[in-house]
Amino acid sequence: MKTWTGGVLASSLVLSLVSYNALADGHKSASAPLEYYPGEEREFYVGNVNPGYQDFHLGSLLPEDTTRDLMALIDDFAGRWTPERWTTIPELWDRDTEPYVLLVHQREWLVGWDQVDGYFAKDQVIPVKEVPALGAKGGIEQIEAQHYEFRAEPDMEAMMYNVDRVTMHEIAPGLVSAVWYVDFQFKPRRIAPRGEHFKANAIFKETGDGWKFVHYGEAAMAPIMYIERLYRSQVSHEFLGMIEEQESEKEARTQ
Amino acid sequence: MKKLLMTCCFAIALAGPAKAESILHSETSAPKADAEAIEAIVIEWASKFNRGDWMRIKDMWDADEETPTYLGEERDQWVIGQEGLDQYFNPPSENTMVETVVIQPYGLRVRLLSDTIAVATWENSLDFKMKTRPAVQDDYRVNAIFRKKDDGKWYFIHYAELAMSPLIYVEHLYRRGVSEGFPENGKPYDAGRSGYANN
Repeated sequence: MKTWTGGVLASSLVLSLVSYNALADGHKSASAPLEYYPGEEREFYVGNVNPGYQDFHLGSLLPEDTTRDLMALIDDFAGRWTPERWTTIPELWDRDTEPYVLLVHQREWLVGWDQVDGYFAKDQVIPVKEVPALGAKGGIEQIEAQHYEFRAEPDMEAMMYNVDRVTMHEIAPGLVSAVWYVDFQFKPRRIAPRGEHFKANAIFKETGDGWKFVHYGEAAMAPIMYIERLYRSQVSHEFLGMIEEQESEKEARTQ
Repeated sequence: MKKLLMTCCFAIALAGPAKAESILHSETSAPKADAEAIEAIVIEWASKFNRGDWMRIKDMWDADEETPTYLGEERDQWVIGQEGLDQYFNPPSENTMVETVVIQPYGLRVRLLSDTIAVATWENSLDFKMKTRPAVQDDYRVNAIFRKKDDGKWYFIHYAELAMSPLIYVEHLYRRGVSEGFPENGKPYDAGRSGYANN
């Protein structure tokens, strides 16, 4: 277990340095330090509906010192996703601003300090908030759902949050908008380790106590697209070659 | 009967068009005027898709923002910059696989982070039909950042659709079919184990 943890820490550090270097260079091209989707060389579309989509990663468009401060904040945030430290995450927020938080496994936003502090407490200390029925027809809105039912963290034996390809820029004096990619791996108790890739967006505010979070949201890929991608990853080069051959033959016949 | 109908028509005419129900959530903290202005934009955003006018979506973005950011729930990569938005919202027509969509936004929360920056969260109920597939429906969360410009209007500078983790979403779908009264009407799964062990 110790060896494994050490390996994880070392990997996190390396990843962190790689992502910081990518930021500092300001490259517009992809600079993913991770092999995001094992077997992706077999993916026809490499995770995209349209093979023409670009990776628009821009890095930081902020002054060097601001970039350094914000990367330190993001790295601090990432490092707190462990079974021992996840309850300290609200310390990175501006206490004078109403917080908004949406984690990828949650049904509803956490809005305000009662909800955010309550969620990140070791024990569930706040009343359950019903998701209001707001008139949407069908879909999961009709399913009974409650905020704190989705507290996954207390059941985790291990967690690892890796940050990749941060793009950030100023949207107003003292306010920065940032987007990045997340490689999140976790080991629930009595369940095998698993990993998930999603995106994150955040807003940071400059306060008397340095830069702080005021908004954070995580975005998975739409489930139907995610499953479709799994299917695409099963396509072999042989099958792609066969399709190509058929298309060539068809083209030759029409000429 | 005819008189009754005429009376009804007259009453409806006097009342004017029915005002659409607000989609603002009670957790909105922005001043009323700003919240309603953002609400109008969010409704117009959906309306452009619903009437097939989505190629003009980009008009609702701040053209002076050098780094607009966008994420559709179907994508696994951010779209960043004006060039990215152009590509996303104006693809070649031969690539269009979508037959029709109906988007209904709801649960809109608006808060101000400064005089010129607002953040909004809401949900979209999406009915969606691809040309080659059956119709499907989906609910997903959205967050967006708006900037108020000198003309007094708010414009998008960031928009992201925040889909739920696929495994949790599928679990939700499975939960829909749970029989009434379950699990309370079931026996503990392990109830017979101790008796079995004693035999």
